[in-house]
Amino acid sequence: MMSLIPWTIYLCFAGAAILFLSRADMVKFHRWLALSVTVLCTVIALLGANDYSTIGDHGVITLTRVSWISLPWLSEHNPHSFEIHYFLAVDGTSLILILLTGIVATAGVLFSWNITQRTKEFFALYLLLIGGVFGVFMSFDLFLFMVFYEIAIIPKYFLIAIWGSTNRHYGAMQLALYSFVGSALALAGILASWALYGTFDLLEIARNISANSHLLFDRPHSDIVMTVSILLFLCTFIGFGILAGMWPFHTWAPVGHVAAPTAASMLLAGVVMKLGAYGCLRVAMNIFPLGLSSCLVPLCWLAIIGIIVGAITALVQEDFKFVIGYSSVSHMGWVLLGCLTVVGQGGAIFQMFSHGILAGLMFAIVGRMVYERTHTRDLKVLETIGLAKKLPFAAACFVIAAAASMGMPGFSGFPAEVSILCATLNVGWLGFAVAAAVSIIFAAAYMLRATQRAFYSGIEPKPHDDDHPLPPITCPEKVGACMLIAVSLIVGLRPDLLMNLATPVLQPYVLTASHLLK
Amino acid sequence: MNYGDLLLFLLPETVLLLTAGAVLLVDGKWLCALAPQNRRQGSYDVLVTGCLLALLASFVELPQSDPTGMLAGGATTLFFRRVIVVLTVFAGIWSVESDLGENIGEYCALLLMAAIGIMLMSASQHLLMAFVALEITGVSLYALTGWGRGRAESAEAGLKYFLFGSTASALFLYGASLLYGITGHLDFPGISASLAHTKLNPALAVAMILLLAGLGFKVAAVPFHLWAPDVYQGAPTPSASLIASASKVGAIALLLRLLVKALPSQIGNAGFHLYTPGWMPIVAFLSTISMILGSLVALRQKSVKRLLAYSAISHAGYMLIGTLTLAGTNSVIFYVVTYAFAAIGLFGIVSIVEKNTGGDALEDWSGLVQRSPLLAGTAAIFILSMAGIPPLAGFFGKFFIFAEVLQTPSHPLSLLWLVGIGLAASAVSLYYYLILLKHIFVLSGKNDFSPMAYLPITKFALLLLAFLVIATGLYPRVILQLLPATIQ
Repeated sequence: MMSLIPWTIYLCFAGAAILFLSRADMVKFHRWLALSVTVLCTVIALLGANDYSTIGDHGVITLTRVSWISLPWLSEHNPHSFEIHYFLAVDGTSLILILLTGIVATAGVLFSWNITQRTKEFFALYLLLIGGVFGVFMSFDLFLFMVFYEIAIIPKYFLIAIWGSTNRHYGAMQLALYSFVGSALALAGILASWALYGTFDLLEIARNISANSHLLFDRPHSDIVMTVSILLFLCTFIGFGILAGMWPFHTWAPVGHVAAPTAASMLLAGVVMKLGAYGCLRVAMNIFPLGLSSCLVPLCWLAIIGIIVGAITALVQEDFKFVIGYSSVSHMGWVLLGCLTVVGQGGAIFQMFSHGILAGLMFAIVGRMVYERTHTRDLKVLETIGLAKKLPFAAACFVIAAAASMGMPGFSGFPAEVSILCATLNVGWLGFAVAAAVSIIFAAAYMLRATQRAFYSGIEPKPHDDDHPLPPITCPEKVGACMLIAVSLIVGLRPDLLMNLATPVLQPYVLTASHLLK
Repeated sequence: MNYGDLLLFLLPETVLLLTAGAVLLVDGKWLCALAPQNRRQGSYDVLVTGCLLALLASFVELPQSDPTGMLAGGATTLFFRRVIVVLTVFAGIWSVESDLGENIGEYCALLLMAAIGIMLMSASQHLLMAFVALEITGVSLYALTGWGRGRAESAEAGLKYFLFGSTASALFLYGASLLYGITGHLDFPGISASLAHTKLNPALAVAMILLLAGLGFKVAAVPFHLWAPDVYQGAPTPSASLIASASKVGAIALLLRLLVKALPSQIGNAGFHLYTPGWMPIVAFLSTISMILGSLVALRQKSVKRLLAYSAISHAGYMLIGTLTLAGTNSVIFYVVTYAFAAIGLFGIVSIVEKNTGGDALEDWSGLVQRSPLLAGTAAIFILSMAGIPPLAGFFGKFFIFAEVLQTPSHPLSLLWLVGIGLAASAVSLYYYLILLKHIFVLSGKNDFSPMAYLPITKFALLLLAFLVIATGLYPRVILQLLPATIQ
C-alpha cells in the first residue's frame, strides 16, 4: 500500500488535467470528479499510514528515486555534482500531513458543492493546489521540494481572485507575492546549501552533517562562518515562515483567508500554512544547524509574539472571518514554538494536524454555512439575527469547534498544546511557557466572544419579528462538518494514534545544536 | 581556401538565402495577382518551406569547421542555428496573422535575411565576422521595425532602432579596432592567446567596455535599453517577436563566445571581498541594473508589448548573470532558448489579440479566457515560464544560472549578492506577470465575447510552443544533452 502514496500527487494532477479539458457545463461531473479524487487520496493516505504503523520501522521509506536532472558541466570544475533526483519518500510525519491534506481537501470539496460559477476551473485549480501540497510533503530532494512548493502558489492566486469575496484582488495578490518572496528566500537558502554540501538530497545532507558534527559543534567558529550560517538559516527559516504565518510576516494570512472562497480558506488555513511550518522543520532547521543554534531564542520570541498578538487581535475583530484568521496566526505560533523547542516537534506536528482540521471546520462554518446564507460576516449584524435558532446545526458545530480549538480535553487541540507546553518547560523556557499558557485564556475569550455574538445573541423573540427562515443546511455540509468533528474527536481521545506515527523530523544533531545554547 | 567547403558549412544559411530570393521572385512574379490573404499565405508557404529545408540541411553531415576560421563549428553553434531557424518559422506564422500591407514577399525576405544575420552572429568567432553579422541583422531588423509605414509609431520605432543601433555598431567597431590594435588578432582564439599573460590596462578596459556596450544594445541591457520599449510597441508584432527572441539568442551567443573564447584572461572578479577589475564586474553591474530597472519599470506599464519589453530587459539581466562563469555556459544557453520560446509564443498571442481587438493595452486582454480558452491557457504557460514558476522551463533556467554562479570554482558563494538581487527581482516581476494573468483570467472583458479569430496553423504553433516550454521544463535533458560541456 505504501507504494500507492505517490499516486495522491498523480491523481490530483490527472484530475486537474481532465477538468481543464472537460466541457464547462458539466457541473455535476466536475464536483463528483473532485470529490472522488480527494476521497481516493484520503483512503490512500489512511492505508499508507496504517501500513507504516504496522511496519514498525520508524524511518524514512523511499517510494521513488530516479535521477531527473544532472548538469555534468557544473561538476567538472568543482567537487560537487549537480544531481537532482525525483525523490519521493515518506516518514510518519509526512504521512500525518498527507492524511490531513486528504481530509481537509475532501471536506473542502463538500463545502464547495454550491459553487456554480466556472466550476471546472475552480476544481481544476483546487486539485492542482492539493497535488502540489501532497508533493511537498513527500519530497526529500530539496529541488523537487521547491518545485512542488511553487506549483502551489499560482492556483491559490486564482482561487482567491476569481471566486473570493471581500477585497479579493488585493488579498490574492498579497498572498501570491508573500508566498513568492518567501519561496525566493528559501530558494536562496537551498542554493547555498547545495553550494555548501554538494547535494540536494535531504538525507544525504543529514548524513553529511552528522558525520562532521564534531567539527561543527565542538569548537568555536570564526565570525564570518557564524555570520554566513546565521544569515542562511534565517533566510530559509523566514522564507518558509512567511507561509506559516510567522509574526511579523503574518499579515497576508487574515486578509487572504477573509478574501478566499470557503474551500480555499479551508485549504489555506488547514494545509498551506502547514507547508510553511513543515518547510521550517524539515528543511531550514535540518540543513543549517549551526545557524539555528544562535537564533533559537529570537525566533521563539517571534513565535510567542505571534501567539499573543494573534489572540489579542482576534479578540477585537468585528468580522467573523477575521476572528478565525487571527486565531490561525496564533495557533501557527504554537506550531513554530513547538518546532523551535526541538524536543516538542511531535507536539508541533500534532498541533498542525489539529489546527488543520479545526480551522478548516471553522472556516467552513463561517464562510459557507453562515456567510452564504446571511450574506454578512459582521458580528454586529449577526448579533441581531439569532443564528442559533435559525441554524442550530451550524451553532452546534461551531461550539464544538471553538471548544476544541481552545484546548478542551477530548478534542485534538488539548494534547497538542499540552505536549508543546511540556516541551517548552522541558527545555527550561519557563517564561515562554507561561506566556503561551496565558494565551490559552485569550483563546477562550475570543472564541467565546465570537460564539456568543454570532450565534447566541438576539435569540429572545422580538416584538416585530420579520422571521424569514434561512435556507437549511445541506447534506454535503453536514457530512463535511461531521467528518471533521469526528476526526478531531478521534485524535483527541486516542492521541497515541498520531503520536506513535509522528517520527522525529529533526535529525539528532539539531538537538546537539540547540543544546549549545545553554 | 575551398569555397565548396565554406558553402557546405553554411548550408542552412545558403538555403535561407536562396529562399529569400525565391520569396521575392514568387511574390513579384505570381502571387501579386492574388487576393491579399492568398498572397500572404503563398509567400509564407515559401518561407516556411525554406526554413524547414534549412533545418533539414543542418542535419546533413556538414564539415566540422569553417575553412576560413571565422565561424565556429561544433554542437553548440549548430544548436543555436537550428533554434534561430525554428524561431524564424514562428515569426513567419505570426506574420500571416498580422496585416503587413502590400509587399509581403519583401517582408518575408527581410525576415530571412535577419535570420541569416543572427545565425552568423551566433556562430562567429572573429571580430570582423561578428561586425558583419551584427550589421546584416541590424539593417534587416531596422527595416522590419519600420515596416508599418502607415503608422507613425512604427516609423518612429524604426528610426529610433536605427539611430541607437548604428551608434552601438560604431561602438562595437571601435572596441574591435582597439582590441585588434592591442593584440594584433581578430580571431577569438588568437586574441585569447595573445592576452593570456597581459594584465588589464586602460586601453584594454576601454575596448572591453565598448564591445560590451555594442552587444549590450543587442541584448537590451540597461543602460543600452532605451530603444526596446518603443521598438517592441511600435514595430509590427511579427518583427517584434523576432527581435525579442531570435535576436536575443544570437546576441547572447556572440557575447558568450566573445567573453569565454577571446577574453577569458580578463575575467576579473565581482565577488564581495574579491573585487578584481575585469569584465565580470562590468557585466555584473549591467546585469544588476537591468534586473532592477526592468522589473520595476514594468510594473507601471499599461501596454502588453511595453510590459514585455521591460520584462525582456530584466531577463537580459538574468542572462548576463549566466555569462559570468567561464566554465558553464550551458545554463545561460538553456535559459535564453527557453525564454525565446516563451517570448515568441507570447508575441504570437499579442498579434492575435491585436488583430481581434485592435490594441495591445492590458484592457484588451481582459476576459481572454472567456473568448478563447486555448489562447488564455497557452498565454498562461508562457507567462508563468517567464515568471519562473515550476514545472515550466523558465524556473529551471533561472535555477541553473543561479546554481552556476554560486559555484564559481575556488570561491563558492562569492556572487551570492547577485543571486539575491536576481531572486528579489524575480519576486517583483511576479507582480506584473500576475497583473497580466489577472486580466486574462479574472477580469471580464468590455463587451465583446465572441471567440477570437485565428488560423489553425497558429493554433498548432502555439500548442507546439507550449508543449516545448512544458517539456523542456519537466525534462531539461532534451536540451542539455545536445550541448557539450563548453562552448566551442
